Amino acid sequence: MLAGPVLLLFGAAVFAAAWTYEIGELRRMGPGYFPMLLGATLCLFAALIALQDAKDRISSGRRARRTIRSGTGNRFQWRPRILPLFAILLFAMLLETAGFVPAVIAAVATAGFAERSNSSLAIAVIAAATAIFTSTVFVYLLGIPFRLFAV
Amino acid sequence: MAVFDHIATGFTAVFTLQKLLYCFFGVFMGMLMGVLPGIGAMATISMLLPITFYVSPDVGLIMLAGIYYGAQYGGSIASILLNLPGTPSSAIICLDGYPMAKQGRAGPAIFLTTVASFLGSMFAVILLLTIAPLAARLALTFGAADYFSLMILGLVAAASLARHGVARGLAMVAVGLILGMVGTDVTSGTYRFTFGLLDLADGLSIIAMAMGLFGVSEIISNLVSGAHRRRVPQSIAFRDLVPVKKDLRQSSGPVARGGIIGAFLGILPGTGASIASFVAYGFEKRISKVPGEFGKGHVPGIVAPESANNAAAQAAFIPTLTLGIPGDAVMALMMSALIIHGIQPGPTVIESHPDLFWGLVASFVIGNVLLLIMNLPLIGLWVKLLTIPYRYLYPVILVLICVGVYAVSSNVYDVVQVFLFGIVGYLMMRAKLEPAPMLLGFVLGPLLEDNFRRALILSRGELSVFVERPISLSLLLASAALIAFSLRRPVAVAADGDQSREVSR
Amino acid sequence: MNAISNIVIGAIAATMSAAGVTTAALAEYPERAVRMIVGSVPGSGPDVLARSMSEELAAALGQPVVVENKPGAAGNVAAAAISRGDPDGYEIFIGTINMAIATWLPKEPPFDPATDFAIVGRVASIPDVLVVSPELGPKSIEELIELARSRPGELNFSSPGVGSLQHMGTDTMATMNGIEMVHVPYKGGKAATTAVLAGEVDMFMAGMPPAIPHIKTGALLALAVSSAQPFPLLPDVPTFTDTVMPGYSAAAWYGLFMAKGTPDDIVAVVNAAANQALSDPNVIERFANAGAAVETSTPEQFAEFVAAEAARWKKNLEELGLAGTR
Repeated sequence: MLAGPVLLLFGAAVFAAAWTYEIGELRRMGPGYFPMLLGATLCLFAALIALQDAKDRISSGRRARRTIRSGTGNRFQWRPRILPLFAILLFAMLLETAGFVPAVIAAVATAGFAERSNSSLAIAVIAAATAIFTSTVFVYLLGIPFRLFAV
Repeated sequence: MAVFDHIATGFTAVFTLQKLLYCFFGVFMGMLMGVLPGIGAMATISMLLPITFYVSPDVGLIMLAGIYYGAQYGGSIASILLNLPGTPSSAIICLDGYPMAKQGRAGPAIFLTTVASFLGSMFAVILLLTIAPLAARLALTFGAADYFSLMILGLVAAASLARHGVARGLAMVAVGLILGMVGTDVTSGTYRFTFGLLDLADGLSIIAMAMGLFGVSEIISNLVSGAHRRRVPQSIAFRDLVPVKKDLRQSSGPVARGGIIGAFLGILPGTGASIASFVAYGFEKRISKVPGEFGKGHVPGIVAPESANNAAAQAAFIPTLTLGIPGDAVMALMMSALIIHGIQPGPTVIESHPDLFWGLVASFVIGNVLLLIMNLPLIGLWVKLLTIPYRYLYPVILVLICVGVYAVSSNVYDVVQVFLFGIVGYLMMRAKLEPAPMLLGFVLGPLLEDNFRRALILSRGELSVFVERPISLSLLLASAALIAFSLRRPVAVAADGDQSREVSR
Repeated sequence: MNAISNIVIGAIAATMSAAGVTTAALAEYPERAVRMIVGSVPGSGPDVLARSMSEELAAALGQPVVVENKPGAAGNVAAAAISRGDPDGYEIFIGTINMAIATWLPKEPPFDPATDFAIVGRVASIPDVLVVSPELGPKSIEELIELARSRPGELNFSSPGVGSLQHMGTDTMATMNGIEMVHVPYKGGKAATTAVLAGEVDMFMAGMPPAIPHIKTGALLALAVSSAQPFPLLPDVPTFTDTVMPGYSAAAWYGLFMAKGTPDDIVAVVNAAANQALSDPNVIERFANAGAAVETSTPEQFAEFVAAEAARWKKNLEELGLAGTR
């Protein structure tokens, strides 16, 4: 379990970064005062979590190891992890450069391939339907000024 | 009795065809938009604001108010069905509502939240009819130190509802508070943690955060685990859509307590609805005989916050109309709609525009009844949504999230934030770190800091200000009691874990 | 006209503008809907003004005007985007005094308000009004100064934020009168007004919109206004310049801006249309309800004014040690 150490690191980073801002005094705190307090607080809780996780691991060590082994037994699935996220990024990139409709179609298509059982035809149909639905709802009914095609 | 005069004035004023139609239009639009991810009350109201320029102010206000509370109904539907909360208060609904949907009980969950919303709203309406001006005065006595202590209570309540130990809850609250620091520091004006990006000057986007942490991470987790392939089919037979007797029995107490908590916290400008739903949830868990059931689809876990949330939404009109102090951005928007028409909200609005004020209160009753009538038959339709195979549904959800987030801010950076919070949310899920306390921490972070610093500027650096004021002191004592309770009886679920969320491939 | 001929004409127009022959092709401006960009959330001051005039502006331009909100950094996210946008005249930005103030706070100013825009014309201005609770005691601005002088460092004043017009105005008043007060910043004018109502702070030099309702009901007492002449909405309230701040006048102003490089004739068309819209009695009344006085200008007058304001507030922020600190 990495939760404790990662949060500890994050808290420490915030604590350190807080010192780049003015700390001030209690009577008139600077912008760094509160982040400093919060960074320290997070470190405290993170240490608690790390301790707890370590304790849990010792008490249920064998079970945990078995889980890990079964986990590595399968090939790491990158499609469902990467493609949905990439779809969001693609939407963000295409929206103002290519326009609303291309962005929606590209995002649906990319996300669709995250699930192995989806056929290309099904994805094409969903993409077209989503483009029509969202354009109708957001652009025509709600009047949000999206540009359907930017060029 | 003055109350009956008020009721009479209100209903006489509101029973015109035009007002009823606008009321219906408002609640209908609000509910629909509330269901769409991201598009909450704020976005809908700002889109429909121009309409109010062409109708009389009372009609416009009735419509805008309808959108506001209608959206609260819709928001919980998206949370229950798809784990897509648009606000911290609907994030709370996700905790028990989404597990219910996974168990094939989406119908009863929506039914119960609809009724809880209705009852919570009615509770606040009664409060409005009886003690509105008095309640508003009370809100003014809250100083910076009191606000600080109230937020501490809300945050402690949020942390104590974490199911994997209070340390994890508190850590996530702290992370949320830290993320809330991103942007312009109110007290000094300094840009903090913006990495030189002007787009971050106003901070991270709450909607992007909620959508990324809950919605996107849930999609990825479903796809990775393949859980959706063995999903419990939703029954759409009528008798499975309505709650069973046990649900109703479990609901009555939580709904009443939630309504009380919501109505009182809703009066306080700025913080009402989100804190109210967290405190209501925390309170129910605190007094429950089976606190371990919360988070696994426990009925009190949805009805208490839903009732509180709606009561707070209605009560928020009290400071807006009677003091001219808008509680949140949506209220500010409604206030400007009135001001454009030359009506100045303030202590005299009840005397100078009784038709407007009591008519609005009466429209709450009508609007909520409309929502109830409209929603119950729609439950079957909503649940049918879940009979669409998930592999066709999730790409559409993902795109709706993106479109919704962009529609609210017109800023692609917010869509990029969805991407980042999607990653963070998925990792958090793996690490048993819960997003709900983080979300409340994020919302309250800036307020907590502002009020802390402001209280100390005003007291010239004396920390004793937090214990000298009676309101502040009692809130701090309540927070301490809640923490002590959580530590004494930690809801240990580390061993049995949450099967539905465990992803091991 | 069919789609193909549209494309052909578009292509010709593009070639011509590339060659610098803009006038002929753009003679028909505007030929489609114009977007009016607001740099803050719906319901905010500039948003209310934009929506209050959009209908009449559309009528004057002969094309729909769509109001769009792009909030961020006191309007400067939108302002920065506008200045770098297409100079085709289809995006009109309703700029505020923050373009001349908030711009100087970051280490690297996002733009220069005087040179990075096509400046169209002034729309309105909203002066500040100093309000106190009636329970505080002072019934005039002179009495307030006396009170502050007798209790140095004890009175608190609120503001909508550090480096805001209202913060700097109160600070200037303190300096000019040799008094010492504590600054308590809030998030926005409504919160800062509420603080006076609740008795948390003693005074607020407020923008008109959040303060006027409470002045009308008597919950707040207006002691002085920051305009050069008494303000029409509060005719009985004296000005600062006539009382305790001789020579001082300031107001939040609003005006229209377009992308740098927008042709002069388009600027002239929009300026004329805006001035026509602003002469409409309905617009004037809606503005007054929002606490704003309509003000019109030629592009040249407004450009000169913006340059002067930019220099003035930059200097003021430098004196306060706030410029270039973010």
